[in-house]
Amino acid sequence: MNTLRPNYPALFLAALLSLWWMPGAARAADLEINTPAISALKQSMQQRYGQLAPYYGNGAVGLTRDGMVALRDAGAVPLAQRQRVSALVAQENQDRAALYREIARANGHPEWEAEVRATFAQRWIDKAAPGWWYQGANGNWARK
Amino acid sequence: MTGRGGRAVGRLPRQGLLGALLFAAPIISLPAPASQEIHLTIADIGGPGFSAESVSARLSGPGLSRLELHLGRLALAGRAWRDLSLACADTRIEPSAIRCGRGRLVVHGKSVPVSFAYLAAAKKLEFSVTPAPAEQWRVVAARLADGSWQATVTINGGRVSRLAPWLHAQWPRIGQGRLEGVVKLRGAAGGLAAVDAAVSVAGLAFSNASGLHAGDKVGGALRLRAQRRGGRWDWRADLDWRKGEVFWQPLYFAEGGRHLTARGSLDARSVTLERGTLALDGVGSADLAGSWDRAGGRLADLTLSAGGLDLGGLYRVLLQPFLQQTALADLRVRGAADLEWQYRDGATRKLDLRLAQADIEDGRGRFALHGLNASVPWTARGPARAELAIGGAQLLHIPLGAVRVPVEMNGSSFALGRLELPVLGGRLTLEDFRASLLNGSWQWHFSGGLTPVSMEDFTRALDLPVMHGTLSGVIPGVDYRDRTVTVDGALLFKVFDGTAVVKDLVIYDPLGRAPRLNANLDMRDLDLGLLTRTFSFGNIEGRVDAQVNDLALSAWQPVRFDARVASSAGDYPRKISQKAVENISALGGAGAAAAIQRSFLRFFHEFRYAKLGLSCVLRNGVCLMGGVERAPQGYVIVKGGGIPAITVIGYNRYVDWDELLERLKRITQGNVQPVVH
Repeated sequence: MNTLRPNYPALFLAALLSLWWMPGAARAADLEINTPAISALKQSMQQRYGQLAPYYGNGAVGLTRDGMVALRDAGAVPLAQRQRVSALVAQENQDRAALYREIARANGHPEWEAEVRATFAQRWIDKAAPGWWYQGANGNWARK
Repeated sequence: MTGRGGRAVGRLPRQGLLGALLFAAPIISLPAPASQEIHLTIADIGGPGFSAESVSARLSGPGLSRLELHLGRLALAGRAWRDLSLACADTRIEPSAIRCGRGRLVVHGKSVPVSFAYLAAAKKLEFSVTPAPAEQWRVVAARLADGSWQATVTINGGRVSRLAPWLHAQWPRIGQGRLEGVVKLRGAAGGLAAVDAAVSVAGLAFSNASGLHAGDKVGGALRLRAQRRGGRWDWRADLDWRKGEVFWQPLYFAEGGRHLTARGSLDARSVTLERGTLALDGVGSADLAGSWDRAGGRLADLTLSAGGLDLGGLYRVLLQPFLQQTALADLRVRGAADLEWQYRDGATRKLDLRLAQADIEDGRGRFALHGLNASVPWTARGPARAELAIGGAQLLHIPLGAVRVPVEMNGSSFALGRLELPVLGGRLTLEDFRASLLNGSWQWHFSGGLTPVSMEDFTRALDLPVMHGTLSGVIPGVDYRDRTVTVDGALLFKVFDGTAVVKDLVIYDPLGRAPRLNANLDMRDLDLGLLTRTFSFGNIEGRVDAQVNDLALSAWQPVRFDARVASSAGDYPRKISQKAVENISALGGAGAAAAIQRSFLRFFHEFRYAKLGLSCVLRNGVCLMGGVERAPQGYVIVKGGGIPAITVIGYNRYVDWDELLERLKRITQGNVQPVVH
């Protein structure tokens, strides 16, 4: 019955992989660089993705312009789940912040963190599945 | 009551009908002729808590039984409606009463059934609205002889959403919910003087626009009594929230019992809670006192005192939601707590915390405290002394023994005198530990030392290959700030009968998601006998120096270093067992070991060597290997000397780091024989 539904996990993984294999972003920053911490973060984010996916899909959670995620419409989450989803969002943001920091450090340039983050922010939005919500440059939410 | 600009038509006194409806003035006493019509218009009219503008009334029909009343604007308890009309086809005007059994009130185009009766002698108005089936709001109001008035509102199946006009615009919007109960109001010329409410709510649902403050199926009961004394109200309340769930970001309250009893006062500036008791199922109960600044919309002060709180419940329900972004986001907590908290003007003034038999474990295994008993009488200003007794602890998998920790506190500064922590059979001494909280983030500093600890226990704790011997050392100044640990000077350890110096040690975000460590290591005169016995590697006699420069760990795994191990200078026996030779060979892949097996060398269990060494430059997961000197197409790992001598040459210059670790693991676990081709 759902043959026409996009395979979101696959899209997400594709997005994730394309981020790692993205050439020449953030000056000379190597965004595909891998370290044990990056692997651990990547794994942690992939595991969490399964729990967050329905909420990207229904607009409860959106992609922010600074490379993070936000609980933009808590009303779309059943009440009993709101605290859990809110915590998932906080954990995802911790991972993302750590990821950007780690990539910058692994490149030997901790000061590149902001650029790494900005590049990722744009790529997350570019690779988002149709129907997901993201924050435009002006801060307003839009649906892909 | 005031009436202004009224124009009465017919024989009705100017204020008569409205006075009756609004129970403020004497009623007419004359029955009207059958065919008469009476019109009344009043520009505006007012009384305690209400005002009406552009009022017109018309009585007509047989026996003046048809009443039509129109209000251009009605204000009630601070809220206003426009264009209200009331029609009643069965109005009965009796000598002492006006009654209407089947009236209709039209507000905003909606028509609802109403009935009313005004009893002139008692100066009593009964008014009932039935906005929906099984929903009735009934008001019985009377003016007493002394000029005061009282009203009783009885609510049956009342929809909570009807109260929306009186709720603060910033509050969450009411979706569903039914009210039952009685609200008694008393007043005089000066306005409302007393309230006595006993109401219960069932199936209440509410939410703000973002959904971050929301409740569903909430049920409970409220008893509120309040009396005005001059410009101030004294109140008592008892709130029993029995059912339903509420999410008030970041807090979530699932189904369960919560109870608040409180008394206090209210004036134009603030709401004061003189004394209250709050009980939360699964956490405990607390006594409260405080005040809310109404103008500023903030908590002005609060004193909370609680005994015997369930620390696990307290963490889960009230603390954890606020700690999501910290290292304390995922704890397993048990124990009991007594708490006294004083908060004023946006800051904690005093926090007196007592913990009994508390266990605190990080869900990700980074730290744990067991059997913690603590008394922390902290104040925002001035010195105080905390006493902590820890039964046992674990930090980054290293177990620490029981210790008593006296802490000198002075505002946001904390200091320990000399502290000895039992660790792995030795002692970690902390000298001059000082911590402070600056702009919301912690900084700390200490120096210290380590008396010999068992390497065996240490390596087991860190899940490293088990090593023997002891570890001791001197720790110079260690600093933590901006989530970074830095060490001034060198850490000096004694290990494998030699020395190890750790320099330029920096650890970023040690308890974070992506800890990173940078350091340089310089080890001298390590006893290979101890080292190789440790690794069940085959025996090597001798000593080595090891340098690990530019070491970088990410999530505690090496990602980069320039490492070199080589025989120390000096005079000492240099022997290597056949098994060790085979293992060294196996580390570099196949190769030299085969030669031993094929030659006469296999008859010797031990060989002599002149020097040995191995280097690895780790980049991107690949180790660029080298030895003590170059060899044709390879590098010399063991250079023979004496009789019988053996030279081991490595040929693989690039070895995958993970593969190398895997080989080392196989060898040191001793359950796999070296592969000999």
